[in-house]
Amino acid sequence: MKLNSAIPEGAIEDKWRKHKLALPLINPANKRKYKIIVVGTGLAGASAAASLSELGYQIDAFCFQDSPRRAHSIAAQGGINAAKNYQNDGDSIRRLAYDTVKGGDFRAREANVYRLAEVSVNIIDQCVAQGVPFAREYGGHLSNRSFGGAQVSRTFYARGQTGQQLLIGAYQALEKQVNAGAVKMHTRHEMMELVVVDGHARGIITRDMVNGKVEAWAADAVVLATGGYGNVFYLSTNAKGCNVTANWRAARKGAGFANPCYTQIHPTCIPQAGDYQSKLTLMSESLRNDGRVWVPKKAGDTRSPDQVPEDERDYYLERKYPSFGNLAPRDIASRAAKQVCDEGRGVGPGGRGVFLDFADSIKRLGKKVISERYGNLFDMYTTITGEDPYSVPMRIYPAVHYTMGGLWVDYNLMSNLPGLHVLGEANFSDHGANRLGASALMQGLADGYFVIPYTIGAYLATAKQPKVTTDHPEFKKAVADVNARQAKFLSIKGKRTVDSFHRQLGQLMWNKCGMARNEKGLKELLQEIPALREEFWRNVNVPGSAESLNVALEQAGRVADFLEFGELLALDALERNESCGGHYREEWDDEGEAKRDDSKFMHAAVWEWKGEGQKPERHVEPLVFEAFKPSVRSYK
Amino acid sequence: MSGKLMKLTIHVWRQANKGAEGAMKSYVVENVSEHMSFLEMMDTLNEQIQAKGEEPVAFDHDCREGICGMCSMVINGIPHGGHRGVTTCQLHMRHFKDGDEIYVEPWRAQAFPVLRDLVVDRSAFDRIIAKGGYVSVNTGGAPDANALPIPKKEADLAMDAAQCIGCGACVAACKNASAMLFVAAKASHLGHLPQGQPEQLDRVKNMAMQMDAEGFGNCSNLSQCEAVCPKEIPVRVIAEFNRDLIKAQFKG
Amino acid sequence: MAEALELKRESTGDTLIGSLMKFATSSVGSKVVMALTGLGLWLFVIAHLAGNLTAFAGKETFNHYAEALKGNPPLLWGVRIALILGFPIHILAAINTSMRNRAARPVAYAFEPRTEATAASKSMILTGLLVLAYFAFHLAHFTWHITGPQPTTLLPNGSYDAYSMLVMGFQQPIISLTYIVAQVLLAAHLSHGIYSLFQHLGLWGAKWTPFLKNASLAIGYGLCAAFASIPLAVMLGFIKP
Repeated sequence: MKLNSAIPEGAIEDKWRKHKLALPLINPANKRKYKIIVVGTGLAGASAAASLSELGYQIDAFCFQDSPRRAHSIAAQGGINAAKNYQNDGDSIRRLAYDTVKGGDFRAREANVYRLAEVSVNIIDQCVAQGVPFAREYGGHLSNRSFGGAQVSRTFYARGQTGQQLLIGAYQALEKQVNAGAVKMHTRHEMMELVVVDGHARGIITRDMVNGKVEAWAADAVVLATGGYGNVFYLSTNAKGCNVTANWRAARKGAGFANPCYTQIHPTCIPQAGDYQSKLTLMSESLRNDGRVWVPKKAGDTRSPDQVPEDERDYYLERKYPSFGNLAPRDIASRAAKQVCDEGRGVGPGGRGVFLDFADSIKRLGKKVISERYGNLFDMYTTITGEDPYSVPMRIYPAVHYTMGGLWVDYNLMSNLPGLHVLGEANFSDHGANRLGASALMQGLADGYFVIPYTIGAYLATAKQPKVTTDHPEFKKAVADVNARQAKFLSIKGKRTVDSFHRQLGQLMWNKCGMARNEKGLKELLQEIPALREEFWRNVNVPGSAESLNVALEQAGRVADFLEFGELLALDALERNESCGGHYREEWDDEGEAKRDDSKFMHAAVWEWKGEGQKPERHVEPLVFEAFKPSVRSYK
Repeated sequence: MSGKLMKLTIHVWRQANKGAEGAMKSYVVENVSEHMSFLEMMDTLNEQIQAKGEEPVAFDHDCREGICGMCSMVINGIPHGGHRGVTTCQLHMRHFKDGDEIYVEPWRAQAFPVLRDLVVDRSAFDRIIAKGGYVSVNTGGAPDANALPIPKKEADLAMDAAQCIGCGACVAACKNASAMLFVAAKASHLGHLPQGQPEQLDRVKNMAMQMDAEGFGNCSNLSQCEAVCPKEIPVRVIAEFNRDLIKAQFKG
Repeated sequence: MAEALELKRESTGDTLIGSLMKFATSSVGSKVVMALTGLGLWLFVIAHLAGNLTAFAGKETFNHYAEALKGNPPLLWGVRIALILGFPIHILAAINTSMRNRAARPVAYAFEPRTEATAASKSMILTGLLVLAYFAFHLAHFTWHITGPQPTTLLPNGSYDAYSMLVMGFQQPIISLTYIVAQVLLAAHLSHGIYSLFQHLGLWGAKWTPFLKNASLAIGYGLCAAFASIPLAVMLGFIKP
């Protein structure tokens, strides 16, 4: 596997500008001769499909939902970062880039990150022009807030629905192009396979989820914007439909999968209420501004919170991290919660929860102020739990939220498979081992609006591949493979539902490869996953037929891929024998904080699929920090 | 601990595919915890159905946190079950009691054909947006975001309407299966912003025409849409839409 | 590239009349037509009521009013033509919308929805049809003198004694009851119709609309009470022959 990061020469400030100048262009009249497939219509996919079609390329866009507007980008609450420095508080492109690199624990490619910060300012301009109703001050100018412990106010937001508003902006741009006949939108189509011809990604195979039709699509380039793999843990804050299938199918065709072990856990989610739980709901991190986190000092204390006197409570974040207190970063707050629950001091059903108590703030500021600040979040909590956080402390627990790993891409967002471009959460490039709050939206839109429109042209101009049609044997073979796999699922007729396997996989992953990982657990996990996978292929029950809308069949494909991918995640976690960002190895602990090993692991680990039953091969892309000097994250 | 456990009778619409005849079918679902969401109850039902060798009830769902707009069930005659500002996925079983009979049906509208069981085709909404639910601006070349101040009040009115999640509950609740709340919400969102103004009259004209072509009904001002809208979008937007459309007849 | 940017726009018809006709038959347009004709009919009802209430001032005033109306053909025919056009257009638009509505939901819900909408707002077609039937009856009674008892003698000045006809008619409980019931139906129709027509014409205000919602209820039933007061007054003997 050849990994050429294609980082341009020059000072970090000049790289993108010079690179854009150096990229070959395609004559406008020739652009319409190229067809590009875009899979996924979240922020990255929708913005890419719209922008590329505006340039003149023919676009076929695909999503598995019933409308491109439903992609999971829509659920992002907090906001989007941009180095606009509208608040005159010292923000700059360089500062945003540095914060992102440092937040990622120096495991991201700094050239990409700098470019991300650079185009962040264009994103806000573009979105405002599209009619995204960002929050404004009385004077009519845009409002900003500080988010996730950032020292500057650089986050733009639209109430608690920033992701929704940005996605709708991109969706509308996409529909504009659909109306113009420049984009063909295929909803309720799931990508089942990537087609590679002569080493280049040339098409995909999809399944029409309404009538089961398996179809082949040929193109000159393929763009995957298919999101993250958090649902390998079954319970996560991701939408139920989020899956790794598109990425995993590409990985099996030779695309390198980078850093799968980088998963982000979000500390403020509503705890699991029972075994039937289907997903976890995130509560905005802003709650920690006024809520105090505590558990009883004594293990097994089942008194109701108002019965626990002050001196029998452990405000553990304030105790351990006196300077940051309840605002300690996501990964640190998450691990601390796990630790107290492991000690038997967790609260609520199952003992996996900690209190987030607003009593002091209500006493200090009054109920009215608290309700103004967090009213909608409190309502949401009440809707879900039936409890009133004004009188009873909230219960929270960490949950899987975002995955920094993904398909490996070079500076042009192209994977090692020529022609295959990967955008947004689906790629690995910008967040390193940990993502900062309000940066996911920024990356999705940066990739789609402002990077891929430049870089894909360079590939198309230089690749010089002959046109292929779906009559090519590779397409025929891929269609046959998809049909055979579906027929296999339907023929097993075992005893267990698909969902039960997914739940079991999730539990294994969460217990041994979740917030904290160690060599022993990971080694066990690497035995358990293949065993579960073996049972799946022997004992799963997929009712119905392939020729109709078949929910169980859709899930079966996704879970089968998670059962393979989960093993890779565990393997990556085992091989990365250090702690960094969201990847925490108990062996590498500095009083609760992640301890990096820069001498051995200052690189991205890129995995090459070697076939079923074969151990994938680990390659590395060394990370070189020229502009930003690696330092130790400390929040004591 | 999973709270109080209930046994419920669920009457649910089963339909094999778009062309097939459908019918209500009854199931008994056991061990329903009061802490479950409605969709988790449906998951439980599906596990129990599959254990008996039957195909699960197909229903649309995705984010399960009330924002994607995918979930769509008419519960006892009311889209999303009738709790203010709540989608089906956020409706919890504590609002039901042991022994209850619950009717679960798909959105009913000519423009939303049933694809299977509770899954309907809402692509009519996409086609309406494609006719003008956007600002015709291409990527690149946008002026600085603060170049054009927008009064907070107008921005807030735009945001009120922009919150629409496109779930279609308004259509499902309307006795006429009208899509006016959805269509007007988009027009109001863009119409309250200076960026959306230049195209506003063309926008409302083209979107209204597509709305009619899709076969939605008329607005009779019953406000049933507003009552079920999970984002509580006000019928004000419909009046605004009407006004713009009348204006468009003379100015367009 | 240029082709891609040229968005496909639908044309709404070339001429003003053409585009207005197209609009008038569209879903929003037919409602605007209903609102405008409804507004006209509502104003007619108010004017009509004002005339009716002169009955309380006695036989002479009422007959004088009736004669003045008849003696002013431009006004009389102006109103008649407005009604002759307004009523059918209002009804045609109603037929157009209800056909569209019926087609918009071919399969009904198995569970009868429980809604907060008022009965009046949900039965506009029914109340409209009943009011239409009543209108025919009323014309037969007061204009064509077919139904109901009619005075046998003319007034001294030779004109028709409308006052006596009114009193004689309302002295019959069946006729009075018919009129009172019809007024309740009209009130129900107006109570939603008045609010609704402002909404259809796009006249919305943050303070004005909630007020209007209550006002249309008050106006609808107020008009009903005022109209019904006449047969009641006849029956109770306040308006004497």
